[in-house]
Amino acid sequence: MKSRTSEYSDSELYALMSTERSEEAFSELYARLSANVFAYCLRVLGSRDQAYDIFQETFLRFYQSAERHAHLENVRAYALTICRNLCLNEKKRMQSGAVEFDELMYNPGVTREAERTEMMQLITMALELLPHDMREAFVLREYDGLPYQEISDMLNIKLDTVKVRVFRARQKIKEILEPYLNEMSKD
Amino acid sequence: MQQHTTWIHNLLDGELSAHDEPSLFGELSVNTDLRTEFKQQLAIRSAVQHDRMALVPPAHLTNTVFSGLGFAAPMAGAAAGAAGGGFMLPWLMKLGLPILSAAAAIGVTMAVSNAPTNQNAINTNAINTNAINTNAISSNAGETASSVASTPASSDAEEMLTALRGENRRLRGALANAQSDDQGNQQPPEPSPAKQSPTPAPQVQPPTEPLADDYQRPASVAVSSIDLTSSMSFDNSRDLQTIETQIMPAQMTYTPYPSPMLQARGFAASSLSDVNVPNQSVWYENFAVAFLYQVSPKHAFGVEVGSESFAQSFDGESNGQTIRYEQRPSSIWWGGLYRYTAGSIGKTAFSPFMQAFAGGTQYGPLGRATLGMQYSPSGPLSFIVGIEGTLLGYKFQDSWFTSSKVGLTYGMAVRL
Repeated sequence: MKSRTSEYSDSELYALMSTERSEEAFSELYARLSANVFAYCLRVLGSRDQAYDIFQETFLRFYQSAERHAHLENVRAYALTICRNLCLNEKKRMQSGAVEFDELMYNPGVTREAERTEMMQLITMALELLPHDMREAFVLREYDGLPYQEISDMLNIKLDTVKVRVFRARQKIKEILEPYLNEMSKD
Repeated sequence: MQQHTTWIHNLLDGELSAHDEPSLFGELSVNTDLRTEFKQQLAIRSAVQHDRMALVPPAHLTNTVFSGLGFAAPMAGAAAGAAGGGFMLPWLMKLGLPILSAAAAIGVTMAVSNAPTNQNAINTNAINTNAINTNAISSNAGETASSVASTPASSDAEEMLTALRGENRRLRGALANAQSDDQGNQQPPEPSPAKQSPTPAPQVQPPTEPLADDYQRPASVAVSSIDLTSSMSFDNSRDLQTIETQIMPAQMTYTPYPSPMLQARGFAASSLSDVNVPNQSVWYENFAVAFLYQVSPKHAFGVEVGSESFAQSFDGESNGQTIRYEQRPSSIWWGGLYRYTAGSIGKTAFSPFMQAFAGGTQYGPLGRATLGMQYSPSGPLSFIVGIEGTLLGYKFQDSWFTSSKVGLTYGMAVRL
């Protein structure tokens, strides 16, 4: 028996949550996964209010899912899949092709230094301009740090397709930010 | 160019083959445009990484999730950082609770200590009044027929004057006896102007009226004159000291050192880390009890145990990802302390003190330095108010982190 929950792997914690309904296990998994899920919600949906709702719903379903699954190999991908499905449903419900950029979408809880970084705000704006499939692949790769293969499995698309989407997303963001990047390089 | 761009992306993903590396680096060294593109991709990646690190769910969202599942607020959970609001506002918000607590503590201390302080002031006034009277008598000793005007201020003054009158009577009695003995033992020869002593024989004039009656006069007290010869003296200072000791025994006679002491204190401190996760509070939060052994008025050693929460913000690795943890766990701490108390400020009962504490918690070692003021009125009680800084060291995944706090402390100690 390990003395701290931080010493358990994601799969072990999920198993604990499944068999014992362990609050501590959920708490530890939340600590590990919440940033990934939150980043996905916020950067893919673009709306803070929607992101908050989907974030809550994701973890509620994630905890409930432990009743059905005793074991999971990739818990993070599973949580993100729940989140993605909820995001897609939300997008369909809203029936709006483009999500209006929310100036306050930036989490008020982030550090002040980060808030003041113009570059980060521009990245956020650039992400809003990307097509959904590119944005999703980019967020999963860059924000959530998933390997290409995991993204491929999660999105149920070919590995090469994932790479192409991420590649195009990067290039697109670079093009959008090019004037700013050039200005920055002069300084 | 397209090939080189692909290589840059592969490099960023950590998937560039060893075979392609020399080609890419060679091209980067000569191709300015490619170098610019590489820098731009690095800048984007860096910004995304910072953005990702800043994207943590706010505390209220975390609480909503947990309360939705029927759980208590998490000990560890990602949470928001500090909100904006200028430089001073966060500090004022942080220090608001400590300042209010200190004000409350000072109020309680003053309320508790006011009664004995006033009583002492009355006694001191009485002593001063009496001292004036006595000094007046002293200055008049040896002179003839002088008077001092005085108005008694309290019953203590009355007692003092009564004592002085008693002393006066004793002296007069002694003088009268000495005179009668002298007259009785010497057979007076026939008075002869040639053998007469140049110094007249000592004489004590009887009081014109009883002293008790003098004291009854409301406006002024006329201390009757005393004629003292050079063969008699009146040590006023010694008599005064004796009288003061009788009136104020508590201040002059105090428990000698060494002595054990039991201290209870509360504290209100703010973390210097920006962690917005709510405290994991317990009923005995921000409270400490200490047992001190005061070896001298200046030096004391002791042990202390208390409980408080510490804001912790640290990064860890999980599944190849960097995760930021933020938590405010409550922890019981314990350890040893040394206190140096400087001398009283002037003639007040206030003494500055410094205290160093070294101990530990379940998370790691704990150090604390306190600078404050000790108020020790008469009796075994004393009160402290001070500022203190705390530093906790803790370890996570083989990396050490620290959590620091500053705040105010206030408490009470009793000598056993």
